[in-house]
Amino acid sequence: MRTVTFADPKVVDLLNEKFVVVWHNLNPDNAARGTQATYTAAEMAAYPEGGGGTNLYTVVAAPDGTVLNNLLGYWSAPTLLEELDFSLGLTAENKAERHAARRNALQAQVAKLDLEHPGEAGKRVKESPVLRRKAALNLLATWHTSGRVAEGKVDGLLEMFGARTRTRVIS
Amino acid sequence: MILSLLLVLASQDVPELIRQLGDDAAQVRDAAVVKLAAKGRAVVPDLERALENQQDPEIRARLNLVVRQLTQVRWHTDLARGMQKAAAEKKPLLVFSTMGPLNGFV
Repeated sequence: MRTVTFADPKVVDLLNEKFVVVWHNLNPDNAARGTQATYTAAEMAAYPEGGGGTNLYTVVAAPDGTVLNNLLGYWSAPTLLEELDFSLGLTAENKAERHAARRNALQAQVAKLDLEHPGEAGKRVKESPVLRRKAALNLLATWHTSGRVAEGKVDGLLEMFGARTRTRVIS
Repeated sequence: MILSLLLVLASQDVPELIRQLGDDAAQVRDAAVVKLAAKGRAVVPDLERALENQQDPEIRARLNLVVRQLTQVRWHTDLARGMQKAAAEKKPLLVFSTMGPLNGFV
Protein backbone atom coordinates (compact mmCIF):
# COMPACT_ATOMS: atom_id res chain seq x y z
CA MET A 1 0.00 0.00 0.00
CA ARG A 2 2.90 2.37 0.64
CA THR A 3 4.04 2.44 -2.97
CA VAL A 4 0.59 2.40 -4.59
CA THR A 5 -2.32 3.57 -2.43
CA PHE A 6 -0.33 5.85 -0.12
CA ALA A 7 1.53 7.32 -3.12
CA ASP A 8 -1.69 8.46 -4.83
CA PRO A 9 -1.72 12.30 -4.91
CA LYS A 10 -5.33 12.55 -3.69
CA VAL A 11 -4.61 10.19 -0.80
CA VAL A 12 -1.40 12.06 0.07
CA ASP A 13 -3.15 15.43 0.10
CA LEU A 14 -6.13 14.22 2.14
CA LEU A 15 -3.95 12.47 4.72
CA ASN A 16 -1.52 15.37 5.10
CA GLU A 17 -4.30 17.92 5.36
CA LYS A 18 -6.90 16.20 7.52
CA PHE A 19 -5.13 13.49 9.54
CA VAL A 20 -2.16 12.82 11.77
CA VAL A 21 -0.66 9.74 10.15
CA VAL A 22 1.33 6.99 11.86
CA TRP A 23 3.18 4.03 10.37
CA HIS A 24 3.14 1.22 12.91
CA ASN A 25 5.50 -1.72 12.48
CA LEU A 26 3.79 -4.93 13.58
CA ASN A 27 7.06 -6.80 13.29
CA PRO A 28 9.79 -4.63 14.85
CA ASP A 29 12.00 -7.60 15.64
CA ASN A 30 11.78 -8.81 12.05
CA ALA A 31 10.82 -12.21 13.41
CA ALA A 32 7.91 -13.07 11.11
CA ARG A 33 8.53 -15.77 8.55
CA GLY A 34 6.77 -16.34 5.28
CA THR A 35 5.75 -12.73 4.64
CA GLN A 36 6.26 -11.15 1.27
CA ALA A 37 8.03 -7.83 1.68
CA THR A 38 7.60 -6.24 -1.73
CA TYR A 39 5.36 -6.61 -4.77
CA THR A 40 6.09 -6.07 -8.44
CA ALA A 41 3.88 -3.79 -10.54
CA ALA A 42 2.32 -6.85 -12.19
CA GLU A 43 1.57 -8.42 -8.81
CA MET A 44 -0.02 -5.21 -7.58
CA ALA A 45 -2.22 -4.96 -10.69
CA ALA A 46 -3.56 -8.44 -10.00
CA TYR A 47 -3.80 -8.03 -6.24
CA PRO A 48 -7.37 -8.33 -4.93
CA GLU A 49 -8.81 -5.55 -2.81
CA GLY A 50 -8.97 -6.69 0.79
CA GLY A 51 -6.09 -9.13 0.22
CA GLY A 52 -3.24 -9.32 2.68
CA GLY A 53 -5.53 -9.95 5.65
CA THR A 54 -3.87 -9.57 9.00
CA ASN A 55 -0.63 -8.22 7.55
CA LEU A 56 -2.26 -4.86 6.83
CA TYR A 57 -4.44 -2.93 9.25
CA THR A 58 -5.76 0.58 8.62
CA VAL A 59 -7.21 2.20 11.73
CA VAL A 60 -8.85 5.62 12.02
CA ALA A 61 -9.23 7.07 15.50
CA ALA A 62 -10.69 10.27 16.93
CA PRO A 63 -8.27 12.91 18.25
CA ASP A 64 -8.59 11.33 21.71
CA GLY A 65 -7.56 7.92 20.34
CA THR A 66 -11.02 6.32 20.28
CA VAL A 67 -11.16 3.86 17.37
CA LEU A 68 -13.72 4.92 14.77
CA ASN A 69 -12.98 2.69 11.78
CA ASN A 70 -10.69 -0.24 11.02
CA LEU A 71 -10.01 -2.20 7.86
CA LEU A 72 -7.93 -5.26 7.15
CA GLY A 73 -6.03 -5.90 3.95
CA TYR A 74 -4.94 -3.99 0.85
CA TRP A 75 -7.30 -1.33 -0.52
CA SER A 76 -6.89 0.75 -3.66
CA ALA A 77 -6.66 4.54 -3.58
CA PRO A 78 -10.29 5.14 -4.70
CA THR A 79 -11.63 2.76 -2.06
CA LEU A 80 -9.42 4.16 0.68
CA LEU A 81 -10.47 7.70 -0.25
CA GLU A 82 -14.13 6.69 0.16
CA GLU A 83 -13.33 5.18 3.54
CA LEU A 84 -11.38 8.24 4.67
CA ASP A 85 -14.21 10.58 3.63
CA PHE A 86 -16.62 8.33 5.51
CA SER A 87 -14.32 8.26 8.55
CA LEU A 88 -14.11 12.06 8.73
CA GLY A 89 -17.82 12.13 9.58
CA LEU A 90 -17.54 9.60 12.40
CA THR A 91 -17.63 10.26 16.12
CA ALA A 92 -17.75 7.87 19.06
CA GLU A 93 -21.42 8.76 19.41
CA ASN A 94 -22.57 8.27 15.80
CA LYS A 95 -20.31 5.45 14.63
CA ALA A 96 -22.73 2.55 15.20
CA GLU A 97 -25.44 4.22 13.16
CA ARG A 98 -23.11 5.41 10.39
CA HIS A 99 -21.31 2.09 10.02
CA ALA A 100 -24.67 0.38 9.60
CA ALA A 101 -25.63 2.89 6.90
CA ARG A 102 -22.26 2.39 5.16
CA ARG A 103 -22.71 -1.40 5.23
CA ASN A 104 -26.18 -1.02 3.69
CA ALA A 105 -24.83 1.30 0.98
CA LEU A 106 -22.07 -1.18 0.09
CA GLN A 107 -24.55 -4.05 -0.05
CA ALA A 108 -26.77 -1.92 -2.31
CA GLN A 109 -23.81 -1.45 -4.67
CA VAL A 110 -23.41 -5.24 -4.78
CA ALA A 111 -27.11 -5.71 -5.58
CA LYS A 112 -26.84 -3.08 -8.34
CA LEU A 113 -23.90 -4.91 -9.91
CA ASP A 114 -25.94 -8.13 -9.85
CA LEU A 115 -28.79 -6.41 -11.68
CA GLU A 116 -26.57 -4.70 -14.23
CA HIS A 117 -24.38 -7.73 -15.00
CA PRO A 118 -26.52 -10.88 -14.83
CA GLY A 119 -24.20 -12.70 -17.24
CA GLU A 120 -21.26 -12.56 -14.83
CA ALA A 121 -22.78 -14.95 -12.31
CA GLY A 122 -21.37 -18.13 -13.80
CA LYS A 123 -17.85 -16.85 -14.32
CA ARG A 124 -14.79 -17.48 -12.20
CA VAL A 125 -13.95 -14.55 -9.93
CA LYS A 126 -10.43 -14.17 -11.31
CA GLU A 127 -11.85 -13.82 -14.84
CA SER A 128 -14.47 -11.19 -14.00
CA PRO A 129 -13.73 -7.61 -12.90
CA VAL A 130 -17.40 -7.33 -11.88
CA LEU A 131 -17.17 -10.35 -9.57
CA ARG A 132 -13.88 -9.06 -8.14
CA ARG A 133 -15.52 -5.72 -7.41
CA LYS A 134 -18.47 -7.52 -5.80
CA ALA A 135 -16.10 -9.56 -3.65
CA ALA A 136 -14.28 -6.41 -2.57
CA LEU A 137 -17.54 -4.62 -1.71
CA ASN A 138 -18.81 -7.61 0.25
CA LEU A 139 -15.54 -7.84 2.14
CA LEU A 140 -15.56 -4.12 2.84
CA ALA A 141 -19.14 -4.39 4.10
CA THR A 142 -18.05 -6.93 6.71
CA TRP A 143 -15.78 -4.28 8.28
CA HIS A 144 -18.85 -2.11 8.82
CA THR A 145 -20.83 -4.86 10.52
CA SER A 146 -21.76 -4.53 14.18
CA GLY A 147 -19.19 -6.39 16.26
CA ARG A 148 -16.44 -6.06 13.61
CA VAL A 149 -15.89 -2.35 14.27
CA ALA A 150 -13.23 -2.21 16.97
CA GLU A 151 -13.94 -0.51 20.28
CA GLY A 152 -11.59 1.21 22.73
CA LYS A 153 -8.42 3.17 22.09
CA VAL A 154 -6.07 2.81 19.15
CA ASP A 155 -2.98 1.90 21.23
CA GLY A 156 -4.87 -0.99 22.86
CA LEU A 157 -6.06 -2.22 19.47
CA LEU A 158 -2.53 -2.13 18.04
CA GLU A 159 -1.24 -4.02 21.07
CA MET A 160 -3.81 -6.71 20.29
CA PHE A 161 -2.73 -6.82 16.61
CA GLY A 162 0.90 -7.16 17.74
CA ALA A 163 0.03 -10.00 20.12
CA ARG A 164 -1.77 -11.84 17.30
CA THR A 165 1.26 -11.39 15.06
CA ARG A 166 3.67 -12.68 17.71
CA THR A 167 1.43 -15.72 18.25
CA ARG A 168 1.41 -16.40 14.52
CA VAL A 169 5.18 -16.06 14.26
CA ILE A 170 5.84 -18.36 17.20
CA SER A 171 3.41 -21.02 15.96
CA MET B 1 -9.75 30.28 -14.76
CA ILE B 2 -9.78 30.29 -10.94
CA LEU B 3 -7.34 27.38 -10.90
CA SER B 4 -5.00 29.25 -13.26
CA LEU B 5 -5.17 32.32 -11.03
CA LEU B 6 -4.39 30.24 -7.95
CA LEU B 7 -1.43 28.62 -9.72
CA VAL B 8 -0.07 32.05 -10.69
CA LEU B 9 -0.50 33.36 -7.13
CA ALA B 10 1.11 30.26 -5.66
CA SER B 11 4.14 30.62 -7.94
CA GLN B 12 4.58 34.39 -7.58
CA ASP B 13 7.39 34.59 -5.03
CA VAL B 14 8.74 31.08 -5.52
CA PRO B 15 12.04 32.18 -7.14
CA GLU B 16 12.76 34.49 -4.21
CA LEU B 17 11.94 31.76 -1.69
CA ILE B 18 14.17 29.32 -3.57
CA ARG B 19 16.99 31.88 -3.35
CA GLN B 20 16.34 32.15 0.40
CA LEU B 21 16.86 28.38 0.74
CA GLY B 22 20.57 29.15 0.37
CA ASP B 23 20.61 32.30 2.55
CA ASP B 24 23.50 32.83 4.97
CA ALA B 25 21.08 32.93 7.92
CA ALA B 26 19.74 29.53 9.00
CA GLN B 27 16.44 31.02 10.19
CA VAL B 28 15.86 32.51 6.72
CA ARG B 29 16.59 29.13 5.10
CA ASP B 30 14.26 27.34 7.53
CA ALA B 31 11.50 29.91 7.05
CA ALA B 32 11.76 29.57 3.26
CA VAL B 33 11.21 25.80 3.56
CA VAL B 34 8.08 26.38 5.61
CA LYS B 35 6.76 29.08 3.23
CA LEU B 36 7.35 26.96 0.14
CA ALA B 37 5.72 23.92 1.73
CA ALA B 38 2.73 26.07 2.70
CA LYS B 39 2.15 26.88 -0.98
CA GLY B 40 1.06 23.31 -1.61
CA ARG B 41 1.33 20.88 -4.48
CA ALA B 42 0.85 23.60 -7.14
CA VAL B 43 4.48 24.74 -6.79
CA VAL B 44 6.01 21.27 -7.17
CA PRO B 45 6.68 21.66 -10.95
CA ASP B 46 8.50 24.95 -10.24
CA LEU B 47 10.61 23.27 -7.56
CA GLU B 48 11.41 20.31 -9.81
CA ARG B 49 12.48 22.69 -12.60
CA ALA B 50 14.67 24.55 -10.12
CA LEU B 51 16.25 21.26 -9.05
CA GLU B 52 17.27 20.52 -12.64
CA ASN B 53 19.39 23.67 -12.80
CA GLN B 54 20.44 24.16 -9.21
CA GLN B 55 24.07 23.46 -8.26
CA ASP B 56 24.08 24.72 -4.64
CA PRO B 57 23.95 21.59 -2.44
CA GLU B 58 22.20 23.47 0.40
CA ILE B 59 19.43 24.67 -1.91
CA ARG B 60 19.16 21.27 -3.60
CA ALA B 61 18.78 19.48 -0.26
CA ARG B 62 16.09 21.87 0.87
CA LEU B 63 14.27 21.77 -2.47
CA ASN B 64 14.20 17.97 -2.21
CA LEU B 65 12.88 18.26 1.34
CA VAL B 66 10.01 20.52 0.27
CA VAL B 67 9.13 18.32 -2.73
CA ARG B 68 9.01 15.28 -0.43
CA GLN B 69 6.83 17.16 2.06
CA LEU B 70 4.39 18.09 -0.70
CA THR B 71 4.23 14.76 -2.53
CA GLN B 72 4.54 12.11 0.18
CA VAL B 73 2.49 11.19 3.22
CA ARG B 74 4.04 12.79 6.31
CA TRP B 75 4.25 9.63 8.38
CA HIS B 76 5.08 9.53 12.05
CA THR B 77 6.68 6.33 13.23
CA ASP B 78 6.11 6.82 16.96
CA LEU B 79 2.53 5.99 17.95
CA ALA B 80 2.64 7.84 21.27
CA ARG B 81 3.87 11.04 19.58
CA GLY B 82 1.26 10.67 16.86
CA MET B 83 -1.48 10.32 19.45
CA GLN B 84 -0.21 13.39 21.29
CA LYS B 85 -0.15 15.41 18.07
CA ALA B 86 -3.66 14.29 17.11
CA ALA B 87 -4.95 15.34 20.52
CA ALA B 88 -3.12 18.69 20.40
CA GLU B 89 -4.27 19.52 16.86
CA LYS B 90 -7.74 17.97 17.33
CA LYS B 91 -7.23 15.96 14.15
CA PRO B 92 -8.23 12.35 13.58
CA LEU B 93 -5.46 9.79 13.60
CA LEU B 94 -4.82 7.28 10.84
CA VAL B 95 -2.58 4.36 11.75
CA PHE B 96 -1.34 1.94 9.12
CA SER B 97 -0.04 -1.14 10.86
CA THR B 98 1.93 -3.68 8.86
CA MET B 99 4.72 -6.23 8.93
CA GLY B 100 7.74 -4.00 8.52
CA PRO B 101 9.30 -0.55 8.79
CA LEU B 102 8.26 2.47 6.75
CA ASN B 103 11.19 2.38 4.35
CA GLY B 104 11.61 -0.42 1.89
CA PHE B 105 8.36 -2.28 2.45
CA VAL B 106 4.98 -3.09 0.90
